Amino acid sequence: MDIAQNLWIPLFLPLLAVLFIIIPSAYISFPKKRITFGLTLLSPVVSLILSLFFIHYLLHHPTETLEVNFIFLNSGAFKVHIGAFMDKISAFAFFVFNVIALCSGLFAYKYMQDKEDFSRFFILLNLFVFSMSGLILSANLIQFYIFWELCGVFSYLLIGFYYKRPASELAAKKSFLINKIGDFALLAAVLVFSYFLIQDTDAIFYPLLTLNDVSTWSLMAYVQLGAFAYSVLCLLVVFAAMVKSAQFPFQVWLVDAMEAPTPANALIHGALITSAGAYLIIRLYPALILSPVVLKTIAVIGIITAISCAVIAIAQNDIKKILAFSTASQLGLVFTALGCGAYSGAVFQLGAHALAKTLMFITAGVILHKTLNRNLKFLGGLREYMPILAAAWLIGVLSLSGVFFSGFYSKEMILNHLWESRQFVFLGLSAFAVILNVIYLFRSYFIIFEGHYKGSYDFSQDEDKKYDGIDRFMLSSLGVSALLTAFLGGFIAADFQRHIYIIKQKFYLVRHPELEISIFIASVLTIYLMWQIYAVRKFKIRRVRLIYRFVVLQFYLNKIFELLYNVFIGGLSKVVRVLDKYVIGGIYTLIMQIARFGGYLISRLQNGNLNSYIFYSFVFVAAVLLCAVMVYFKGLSQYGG
Amino acid sequence: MAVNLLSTFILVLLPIIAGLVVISPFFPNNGIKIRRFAKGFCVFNLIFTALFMLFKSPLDTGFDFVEKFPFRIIPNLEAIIAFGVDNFSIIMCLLTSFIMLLALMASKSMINSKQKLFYSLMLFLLGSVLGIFCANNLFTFLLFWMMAIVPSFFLIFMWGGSNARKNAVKFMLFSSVSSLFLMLSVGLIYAYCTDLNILSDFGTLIKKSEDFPVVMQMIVCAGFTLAFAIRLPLFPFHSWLPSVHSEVPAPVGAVFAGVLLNTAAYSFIRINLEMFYDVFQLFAPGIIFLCAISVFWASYTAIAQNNIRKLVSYISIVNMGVILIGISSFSEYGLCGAIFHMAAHSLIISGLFIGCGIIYLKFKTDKLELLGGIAKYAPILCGLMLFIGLACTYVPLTMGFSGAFMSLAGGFNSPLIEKSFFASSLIQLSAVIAAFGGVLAGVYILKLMHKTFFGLSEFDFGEIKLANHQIAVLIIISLGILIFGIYPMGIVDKIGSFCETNISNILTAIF
Amino acid sequence: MGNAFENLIYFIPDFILIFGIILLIFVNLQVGSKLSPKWYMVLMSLVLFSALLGFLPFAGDFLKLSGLSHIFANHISFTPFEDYNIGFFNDAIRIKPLGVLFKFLIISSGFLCVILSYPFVKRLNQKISNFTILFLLGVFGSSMVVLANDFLSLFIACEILSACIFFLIAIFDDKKEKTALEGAVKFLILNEFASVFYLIGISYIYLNLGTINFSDINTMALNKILPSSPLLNVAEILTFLALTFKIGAYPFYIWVMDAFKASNYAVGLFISTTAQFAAAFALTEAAFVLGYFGSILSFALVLSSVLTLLLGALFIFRTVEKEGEIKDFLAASSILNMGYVFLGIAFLTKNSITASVFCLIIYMISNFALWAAFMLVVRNLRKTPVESPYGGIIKPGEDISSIKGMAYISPFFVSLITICIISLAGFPITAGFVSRFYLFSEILRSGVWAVYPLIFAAAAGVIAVYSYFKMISYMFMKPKRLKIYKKKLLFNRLNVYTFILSAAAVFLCVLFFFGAPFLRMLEKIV
Repeated sequence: MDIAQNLWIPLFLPLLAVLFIIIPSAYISFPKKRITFGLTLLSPVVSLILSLFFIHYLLHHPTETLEVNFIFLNSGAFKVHIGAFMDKISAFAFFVFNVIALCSGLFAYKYMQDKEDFSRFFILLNLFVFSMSGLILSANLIQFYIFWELCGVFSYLLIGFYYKRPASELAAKKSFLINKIGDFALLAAVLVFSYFLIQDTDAIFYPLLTLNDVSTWSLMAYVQLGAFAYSVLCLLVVFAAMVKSAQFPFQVWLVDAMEAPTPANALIHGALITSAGAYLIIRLYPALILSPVVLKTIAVIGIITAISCAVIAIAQNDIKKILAFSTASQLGLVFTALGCGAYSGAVFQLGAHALAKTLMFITAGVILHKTLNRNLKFLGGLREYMPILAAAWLIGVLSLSGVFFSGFYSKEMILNHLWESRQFVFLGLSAFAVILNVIYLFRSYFIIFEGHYKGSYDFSQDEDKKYDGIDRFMLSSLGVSALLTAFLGGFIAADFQRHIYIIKQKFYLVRHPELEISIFIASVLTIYLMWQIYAVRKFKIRRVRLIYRFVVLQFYLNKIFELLYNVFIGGLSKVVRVLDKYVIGGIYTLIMQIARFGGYLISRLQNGNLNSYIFYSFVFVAAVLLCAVMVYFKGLSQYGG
Repeated sequence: MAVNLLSTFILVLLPIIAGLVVISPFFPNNGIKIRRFAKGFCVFNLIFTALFMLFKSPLDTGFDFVEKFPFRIIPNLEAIIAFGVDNFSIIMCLLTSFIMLLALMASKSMINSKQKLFYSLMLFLLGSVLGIFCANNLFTFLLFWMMAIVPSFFLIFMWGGSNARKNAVKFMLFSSVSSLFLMLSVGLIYAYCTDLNILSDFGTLIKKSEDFPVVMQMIVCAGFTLAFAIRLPLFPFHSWLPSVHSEVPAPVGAVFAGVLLNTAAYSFIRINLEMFYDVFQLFAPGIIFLCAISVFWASYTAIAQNNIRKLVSYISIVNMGVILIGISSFSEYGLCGAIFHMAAHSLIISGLFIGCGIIYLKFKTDKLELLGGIAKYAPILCGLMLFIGLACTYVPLTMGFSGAFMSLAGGFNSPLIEKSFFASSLIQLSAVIAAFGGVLAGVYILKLMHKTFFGLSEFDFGEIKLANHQIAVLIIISLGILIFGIYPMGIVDKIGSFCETNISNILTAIF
Repeated sequence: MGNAFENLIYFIPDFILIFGIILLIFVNLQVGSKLSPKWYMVLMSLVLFSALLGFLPFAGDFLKLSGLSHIFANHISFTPFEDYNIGFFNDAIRIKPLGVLFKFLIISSGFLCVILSYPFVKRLNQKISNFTILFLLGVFGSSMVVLANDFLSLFIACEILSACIFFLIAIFDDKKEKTALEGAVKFLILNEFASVFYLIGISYIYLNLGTINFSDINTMALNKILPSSPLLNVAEILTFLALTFKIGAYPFYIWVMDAFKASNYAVGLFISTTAQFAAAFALTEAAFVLGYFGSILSFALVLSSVLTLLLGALFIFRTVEKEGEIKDFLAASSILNMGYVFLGIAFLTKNSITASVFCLIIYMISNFALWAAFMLVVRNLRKTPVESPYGGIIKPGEDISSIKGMAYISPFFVSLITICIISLAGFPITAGFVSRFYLFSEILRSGVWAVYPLIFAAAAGVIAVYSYFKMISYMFMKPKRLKIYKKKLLFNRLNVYTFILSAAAVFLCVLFFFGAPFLRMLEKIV
C-alpha cells in the first residue's frame, strides 16, 4: 500500500490509547499507572519513527507531497474533508512535536505518580496529542480550524485539571474564552474564503481550501475580493494566530495557563499550542504574501511582543511565568521573521525554541517536584546539589538566547536575512530583543543555580542516590531534549534552507560574519554583567517602584481584560436581561393589561341604567345608517350589490 | 414496495391509542406498571420508525407510505386527513421517538405523582408530534399542530413548579396566537383552491403553489412565518419559553425543547421554504437578521441568568436561531446543516435538561450561587455534563459543530447575496453576529459548568450515587453526540438528496 | 302538492304543542292547587316528547340527504323533499327544510330544558302552572319563528317568544331582592326598543319593494327587478340590526348579561338554548332574503359581529379573571359564540351561512353540557355559610371560585367539562375545531379582504381561549375549600346532569371524525 496510507496511524494512535484507558475503567477500575504510561508513550514513539521515515522519503523525492483524505461533510458544493498531508514543513514540525510529546510523556509519569486523577491526566494528554497531530497533519483549512478549536478545548481541560483550586478554574475559563475569540476570527475567515470556492464549479474535485496548493484558491479570493477586502480577511487570520500564539495583548492567557500541571505546560504551553499560531501563518504564507500590508503588521506585532514580553520577564519571580513570557517573546521573534520574509529562519527558530522550551520546562518541573516551590526568592545555589539540572538549564538558556547550540543557527538565519533585505529597523529591534532575552535568561540561571540555597528542602537525603535523586524517566526525558536542543542545529542547519524555502527567497546560505560576531560579543558582555549582578552581588540595582509595578503587572493587561469582560459581556448581559424581562416580557403583560382594561370598560357600560343602554345602541345604529347612506351617495357601488 | 404493515396511519395513531389505554380506568394505577408499559411502547415505536427508514430508499425524495382517511372531515372543503413520509420527516420521527424514550427513561426518578395522567399525556404528545411530521396535507398539519398544544398545556400545568398555572396559561396564549395565524393561512388556502388533488397532499401543493395570486401568497406566507416564529421562539416572541421550560420537570422540559421546537423548524422547511419560496425569499434577509438578534439576545440573557434551568432554556433559543439561519439561507449546505443541527440541538438540550433535573433532584436547588463543587461528589455526572456542555459550544468532532458550521456557511455564502446589496449586507452581518454566538456560548456554558461543578462547596454532600437509569440516559446521549460528531455523514447523506432536489428546483425557480 | 289535509301532517308538532298548552290550562283550572310541581314537570315533558315524535315523517328525508339512507333504506318511507315548500295562510307561513331541522332542534332543546330544570323550579309551588304554560308557549313561539315566511309573521313569532321570556324571568321574583322583576322589565323595554327599529325597517322595505313576503322578494331578486335606493339600504340595515337583539349581537347585546343574572338557572337555560336557536334562524332567514342587497349591509354586519366577538371575549376574560358569577361566564360565552354564528351569517354567502349553522349546533351541544354541569354544581352547593380551612366564613356563592379544585372531588366529571370547554375553544379532537376551521375558510372564500376582519375575530378567539384554559386550570387547582358541597358523590353518580354532560362530550368527539354526513345534509338544506 502506498506510503501516504501510513499517515492515518499517527492520527488515530492516541485515540486508541484513550480507548484502552477508558473502557477498562468502566468495568473494573482505571488500569494500573504503568499501563496507562505505556499506552501514552505508544503514539509518540511510533509516530517518531514514522516521521523519520517520512523525512527520509521526502528528502529523496523533493517534489512529492503525501496526502490522504476522507469525506467528513458533503452536501452539494460544500465538501469538507479530513485527512493528513505531509510536506517538508509539516514533516519537520511533526518530528519536533513527537519528540516533545515523548519527553513530556516520560516526565509526566513520575511527576503525576502521587497525585489523584492520574489516568484522567493521561487521557487528556493523549487527546491533546491527537488534536495536535491532527492540526499539524491537517490537509485543508477547515480541518485545520476543527483541530485548532479542539486544541483550545483540551488545553482548557488541562489548565482546569486541578478544578478544586479556584485559581486554576479561573485561568481555564480565561484561556478558553480568549482562544474562542481567536477561533471566531478564524471561523469567519474560513467561511468567507470557502465562499469563492463554492461558487465556481471546477473547484469541486479539490477538497475545499486544501493546504496542498494554497496559492490557487487564495489568488481566486484575491481577484474577486480586491486588495483592501482581501487584506482585511488575512488580518482576521493573523488575529487568530496572534491570539493563539499569545502575542502582545493576548499573552495574558498563556501566563495564567501556568496553573496547569507542569508536564502539561511542558507539552502544551511551552512548545505546541503557542507555535500552532505561527504554524498557521507558515501554512498560509503563500496567501498572506499577496498583501504586503499584512506582512508588515505581522512583523510589527512580533517585534512589540518580543520586546515587551522580554521586559516583563525580567521583572518576574516565578520560574514558570518567566518561561511563559520567554515563549511569548521568542514567538514574537518568529512573527517578526515571518513578517520580514525570513521564512526558513522562522520555521527553524520555531523548532529550536520548542525543543529548548521543553527542556527548560522539564528542569523547572523537576525543581518544582523536588523543592515544591516556584518562587525565585527561595531558590539558589542548586548547582552544587543538582549539577545535572544546572547543566540542562544552561544548555536551554544558551540555545534560547542564540549564543551557542541550535538557537544560534536560527538567530543567525533570521538576522542574516534581515541584513540582506536591508530592513535595518527590524534588524536593530530584533537584536535588542535578543539581548533582552539574554538578560532575563541568564538572570534566572544565576539566581537559581548560583549563590546559596535559601529554600527549606534539605538535599542531604539525595546525597547517596544516583543522579542526585532525579527519577530515571525524568532523567531520560531531560537527556533526550538536551541532546536535541544542543546538536539538532549543527546537523540540519546547513542544508535546512535548501529544503524549506519560499519561492521569492533569493538570498539564503549567505552568511555575514561581521553581524554574527558583533551579536556574540554583545551577548557575552551581558552574560558577564548578569554574573556580576546576580551571582556575585556586586552591583545593587535600585528598583523604581512605579515602573516595577507597571511591568510586573504586564502593563495592567489583566485589569484591562477584566474591564472589557465586565463591560462588554457581564454588564451588557445584565442590561439585556432587564430588557428581556420588561420589554419582551412586557408584550405579554401589555396584552393582559389591554384585555383587563377592555373588560373594565365594558363592565362600566353594564351599569344597569336603562337609558344608557338604549342611548349606546341608538348611537351605534344611527352611525351605521349614516355611513350606509353616505357610502351609497358617494357611489362606491363598485363594491357590487 | 410499501409493506402494508408499515403504514404511517398506524405510526401516528398508535401512541394516541396507547395514551387512551393508559388513562382508561382498566389500566392498573401503580406507577411502575404504567412506566414499564409506556417505555415498552416507546421502544416499539422507535423500532417501528426505524423500519420505515429501512424500507425507504434515501434516493427518491418523493412522499412514501401515503395513507388517506377513508372519508372527508369537511366535505365542502375537501379537508381530509392524509399521512405521508419522506426522508426528512422519517428522520424527525425517529428523533422524536428517540428523545421521548430518553425522557421516559429519565422520568423514573423525577415523576412520582399522578403517573397515569403523566404517561398518557406524554403519549398523546408523542402521537400529535408524529402526526405533525407525517402530515401530508395542510389540514392534517393544522389538526396535529393544535392537538399538540393541549397535552403540553396540561403537562406544564400539572407538574410545573411554583407558578405553574401562570406559565401554563401564558404558554396557552402564545400557542393559541400561533395556531390562530396558522388556521387563518390554512383556511385561506383551502378557501382559494377547491379541487381535491391539489389539497390532498404536499407533493402536488408544492408544484401548484406558484400559480396562487401573489397577494394571497404574501398573506399566507406572512401568516405561516408568524405562526412558526412564535413557536420557534424567534426573537420578539420568545418570552414564553424560559418561563415554561425552567419550571417543568426535566423529562417534560427535554421533550418540549427537544421535540416541540423541532416541529416549528420542520414546518419552516416543509411549508415556508418548499411551498412559498418566491415570497419567503423576500422575508429571508429579515428573518436571518431576526435570528442573529435572537442568538445575540438569548446568549446575553443566558449569561446573566442565575438559575441553571432558565439558562438551559435560553440555550435552546440560541440554537433554534442558528437552525433558522441555515434554513432561510436558501442554500443546500445551509438546509442540510439546519436539519443536522436540529438533531444535534434536541440531543444536546435534552441531555442538559436531564442533567439539570438530576442536579435539582439531588441538591434541591437550581440557583447558581448555592451550587458549587459538585464534581468532587458526582464525578460521572460532571464529566458527562461537561462533555454535553462543550458539545453545545460547537466544539468540533461533537454533534453540535457540523450542523452549526454548515448553517453558518449557509449564512455566509447564501445564494441570496447576489440578489441585492441590502440583502447581502444584512445576511452577512447577521451571519457574523451568529458566528460570534459561538464565543458567547463558551461564556454561558462555562459559567454553568464552573458555578455548579468546579470550585469548592461549603458543605460536604458525601458520595452522590446516581441511579443507573439516569447515568444510562446521559451516557446514551453523549454516545450519540460523539458518534454523530465524528461521523456526521451518517445523517447527512440521508438528508443530502432531500436538500439537493429541493434547493436546486427552488433556486432555478427564483433566479 | 297533495290536498290540504295531507299537508297538515307537517304541522303535527305544532298542533301537539297547542293541544298541550290547552290541556295544561284545563288541568290548572280544575285541580291546580292539589297537583305537586313534579306532576306538572312530567306533563310538560310528555307534551314535548310527543311533539318530538311528530318529526318521524321527516326522518327519512334527513337520512337521505346526509347520505346515510342506505343504512335505513327499508324501514322509513320517503316523502319526496322537493314539495316541502308549501305556503299556508296565503303564504304567510312556509315549511322549509332548514326550518324543519331548526324546529326539531328547538323542541328537543325545550325538552332538555324541562328535564334539567326541575330542582330549580320546585320552589315555585303554586306558580308552577303559570311557569309550565308560559314555557310551552315560549317553545311554541320559537317554533313559530321557524315557519315564518314574511317579516310580519317573523315579528309576531319573535314577540310571542320575548313576551314569554319576560314572564318567565319575572315569575321567579321573590320579595326580598327584586332583581328578577327588574331584569325582566329591562329585558322587555329593550326588546320593545329593538322591535321599534324592526317595524320601521319593515315599513321602508314595504315602501320600496311593495311586499314583505320572503318568497316574493326572492322571485323579484331572481329576475333582477330589485330597485336600489338609499332608503332600501337603510331599511335592510335597520331590520337586520334589530334582529340582532334576539341573538345578543353588538348593538343590542346589553340585555344578555343582565337578563342572565336576573333569571333563574332554568330560565337562563331556556333563553340561551331555545331562544337563541329561534333567533339564529330568524337571522339566517333575513340573511337569505336581504342577502341580495349586497355589500354595504354585509360591511355593517361584519363590523357589528366583530365587535360582538371582542365584547364576548373581554367579558369572558373579565369574569374568569375576577372569578365572577357562573351565569356571567355562561352569558359571556353565549355572546362570544353567537358572535361567531353572526360572523358567518354577516358574510351573506350560502357557504358561510351553512358554516355558521354548523357552528351554532356544535356550540349548542357544549352549551347544554356546560349548563348541565354548572346546574349540578349550583344545586349541590351548601346554602349555609361554611368556615373555610384557611379561616373566615365563606358563603358558597355561585361564582367560579366554588368550582376550584373540582378535579380532586371527581376527576371524571371535570374531564368531561374539560372536553366541552376545549370544544368551545376550538381545539382538535372535538368538533369545535372542525366548526371553527370550516367557518374561517368559508368566510375567507368570499375574498382575500375577509382576512382583516377575521384577524380581529380570531384575536377575540385567542383571548377567549386564554380564559377558557384559565377556567380549566381553576378546576385542577389544589382545593382550598372542600366542604362547600352537600353531597360530593353526586358528581360521580349517573344523574340527568352527568348523563347529558357525558353524552355531549362523546357526541363532540364523534362529530369530529364522523361529521361529514351531517355537513353534507346541511349543505343541501341551507
